[in-house]
Amino acid sequence: MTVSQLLNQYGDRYLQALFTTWRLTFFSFLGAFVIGIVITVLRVSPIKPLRFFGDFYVQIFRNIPGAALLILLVYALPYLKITFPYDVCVLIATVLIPSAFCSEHLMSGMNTIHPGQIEAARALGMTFFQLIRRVVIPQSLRSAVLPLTNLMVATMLTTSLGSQVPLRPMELTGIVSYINTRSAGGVMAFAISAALYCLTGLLIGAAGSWIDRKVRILR
Amino acid sequence: MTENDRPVIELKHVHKHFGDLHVLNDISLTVKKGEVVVIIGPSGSGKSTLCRAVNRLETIDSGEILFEGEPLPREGRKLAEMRARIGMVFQSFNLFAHRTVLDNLTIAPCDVLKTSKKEARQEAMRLLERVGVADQANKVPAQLSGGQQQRAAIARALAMHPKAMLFDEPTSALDPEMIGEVLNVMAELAKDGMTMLIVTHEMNFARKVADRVVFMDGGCIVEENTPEAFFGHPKSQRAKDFLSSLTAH
Amino acid sequence: MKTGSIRDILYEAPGPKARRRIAWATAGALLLLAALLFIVVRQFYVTGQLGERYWAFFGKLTTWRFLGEGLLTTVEAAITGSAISFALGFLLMRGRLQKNRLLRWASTGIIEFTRGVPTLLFIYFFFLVVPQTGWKLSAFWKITLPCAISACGVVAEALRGGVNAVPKGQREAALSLGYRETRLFYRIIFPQAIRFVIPSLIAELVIVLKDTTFASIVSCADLMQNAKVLISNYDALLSIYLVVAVIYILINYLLNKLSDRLARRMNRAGAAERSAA
Repeated sequence: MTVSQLLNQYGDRYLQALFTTWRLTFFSFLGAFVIGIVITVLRVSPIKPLRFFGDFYVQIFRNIPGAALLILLVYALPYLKITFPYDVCVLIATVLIPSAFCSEHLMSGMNTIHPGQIEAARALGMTFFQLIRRVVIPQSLRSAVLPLTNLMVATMLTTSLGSQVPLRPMELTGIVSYINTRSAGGVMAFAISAALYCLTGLLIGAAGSWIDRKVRILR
Repeated sequence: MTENDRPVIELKHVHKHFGDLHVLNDISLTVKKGEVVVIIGPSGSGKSTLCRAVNRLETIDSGEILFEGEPLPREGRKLAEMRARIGMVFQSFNLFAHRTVLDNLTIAPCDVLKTSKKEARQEAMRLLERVGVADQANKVPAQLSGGQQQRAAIARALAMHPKAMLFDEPTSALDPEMIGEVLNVMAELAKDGMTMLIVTHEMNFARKVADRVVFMDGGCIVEENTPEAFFGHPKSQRAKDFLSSLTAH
Repeated sequence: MKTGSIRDILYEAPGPKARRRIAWATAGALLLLAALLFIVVRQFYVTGQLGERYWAFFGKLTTWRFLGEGLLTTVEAAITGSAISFALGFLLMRGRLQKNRLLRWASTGIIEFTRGVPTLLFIYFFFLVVPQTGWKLSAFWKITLPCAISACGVVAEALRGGVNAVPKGQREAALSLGYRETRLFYRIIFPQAIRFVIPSLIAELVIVLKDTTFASIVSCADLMQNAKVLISNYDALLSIYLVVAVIYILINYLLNKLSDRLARRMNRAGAAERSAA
C-alpha cells in the first residue's frame, strides 16, 4: 500500500496509536522517576537491609527481559489470584524496568559530586537535610539530565511491549501488526510507525539537551 | 586570665588511628583568641588530620577537643551549630559547583543563620570586595582561577562570622603565581585579629605571620615555638632535618 | 556501575544517638522485609502454587536439558546478533566519521533511525513483511537479524565515543611519524578505542539477549519458547516462567557485573597512565 492509502484508511488509528504511545511513555517515565528516586533513597540510606533491598530491586528489574516480566504479570500473576487488566500490566512493566535504570542514573549523578562539596557544606554548619537539599539533590539531578533524557527514549521503546497484549487503543507497534494481519500494509505501514517513533525520540532528545544546556554544571 | 588569653581551640591528649597508623599521637594544643598558629611538617605527619579534627570532619579515638571552652558535640544539630562558628578553608576550595560565587557566600548564612536574603547579599558583596573578587560575583566557580576561587572560599567562610578559621593547606593546589594573592588575604585576616589555625608548606608566610609554629612529625607534636626561635634555632633533630630538606633544592 | 563512594561520604561517622537510631531502623526494616517475604510466600501457599506437582519436574534431567537447548539457541542468537551489530555498527561509525558529507549524513540517519525504533517493530517487519518479498529466512535469522539491526546504532555510537576518547596527541604523534589516515586509524586509534568500549559492548550483548526473548513471535525455539512447551506439558505456568525469568536475570546480572569490572579496571589503568604522564 502507498502512504496515502494507508493514511486514508488508518490515519485516525495511527494518530490514536501515537497518542497512546505518548501517554504510556509519559506516565511510565513519571512512575519510573518517582520509584527511581524512592529506590535511590533506600540505596543510599545508612540502613543495611534497605540498601540491600534497593540493590536487589535494581538488579532484578535492570536484568529481566521486558517480555518475561510482561508474561509474568499477564499470565502468571492470575495463578496467585492477582489479576490486572492488560493496560495496567503493560504500565507496570514499563514503569518497573525503567525505574531500575533511573535509580542507576541517579546514583551515577550523585557519584559525580565531589566529596569536598559535602565536607564544605558540613563545615559551614549545614545539617544533613540542608546538605541534601542544597547540594546533593541539585547537583545530582543536574548531571542526570542527559541520562534521564535517554531513559525517556528507552521508556518509549519499552512501551512497544503493549503490542504483546490486546491493548485498546493500540500503540504504535501494535497497530502495525494489526494492519499487516488485516491487509498487506507492507513496508509503508512500518515506515509510518517508525517515523512517528523517531520523531518522538528526537523531540525528547531536543527537550533534554535544551534543559541540560540550561542547568549543566561547569566543573 | 584576661580576655585575650582565653583559649578558643583546645586539644587535650587527642589520639587517632587509621588502621595501624597512629596519625594523631597524644596531641595537646591550645590556640588563644587572636592567635595565629601555623602547623608545619612533612606530608603524612598528621597535620591535616589535626586541622580537620577541630570541626569533626575527622573523628578522634580518644582525648578531648574544646571550642570556646565547650567540648565538640558528636552529632546532629549541635555539631552543625558548632561548625557554623568555625570557618574552614580547604586545599581544593570546594566552592559549590552548581551555584554562582555570590550564592556560595549567601547560601549558608540564609540556611543556617537565617539571615535575610538582602542582608546576606550585602554582606557577601562586602566580603568579596575585601578579598578582591567582587567582579566575579555572578560567575560560577569553574570560571574563576584557582587563586580567585580560594579567595572566594575564604570569603564564604567569613560570611558565617566565624570565631576562628581553619586553613587546611590552602595554597597547595594553586599555581605558584596565585599563591601570593591568597596568602595576602590570610595575612590581612591575621592583622585584623582573627584566630587562625593554619596547615601550610609556606615557610616565609609562617615566619612573617605566625605567632607560634607547631612542627609535627609521625603523628606527634615535636616542637612548638615562636617563628624566630623555631626557624632560627630548631631544637629537635627532626625539625632540623625537615628545614634543611626544604632549603636543599 | 560503582555505587560505593557516595554512600560512604553522605553520612558522617555516627555518634551514639545516630547509632541507636540506625539500629532501631535496621530492626524495623528487617521486620518489614520479613513481612513482605511472608506475604509473598503465603500467597503462593494459599493458591496452591507451592504444590509438589508444580516443582517436582525440576528434579528431572529432561526438564533441564530441554530448557538448556532453548538457552543454547538464546545464547547463539544473542552472540550472533551482537557480532552482526558490531560489524554494522563499525561500518556506521566509520561512515559517521568520514569527510564525505553524503556518507556522514546517511550513517547518522541510519544510526538515529535504529536507535529510535523499538526492536519489536523490526521483529514484526522480519516476521510480516520480509516473507512477502520472497526472502526465505529461518526462524533463527528472523529473530537474530532484527535484534542485530536494532542494536547496531547504539554500537556505532559507543564505538564513536571510544574513538573520540583516544587523546588527540596519539593522532598527532602518528601523523608526525608519517602515518596516513586509514593506516593511522586501524593501527593507532582503533586498538586504543576498542579498549574503552568493551564494557559498553558487553552491556549491549545484554540488550540483544533481552530482545531475543521475543523469539516466540517468529516461533524460534529459544528459552522462552521452550518454556512454553514445558508449560503445556506439565500444566505449570507460574513455576516455569518464574524459573526462566530467574535464569535470564542471572545471566544478565553476571554479564553486567563483568562489564562493570572491566570498566573499573580500565578506569584504574587510565588513571595510572595519566599520573605517569
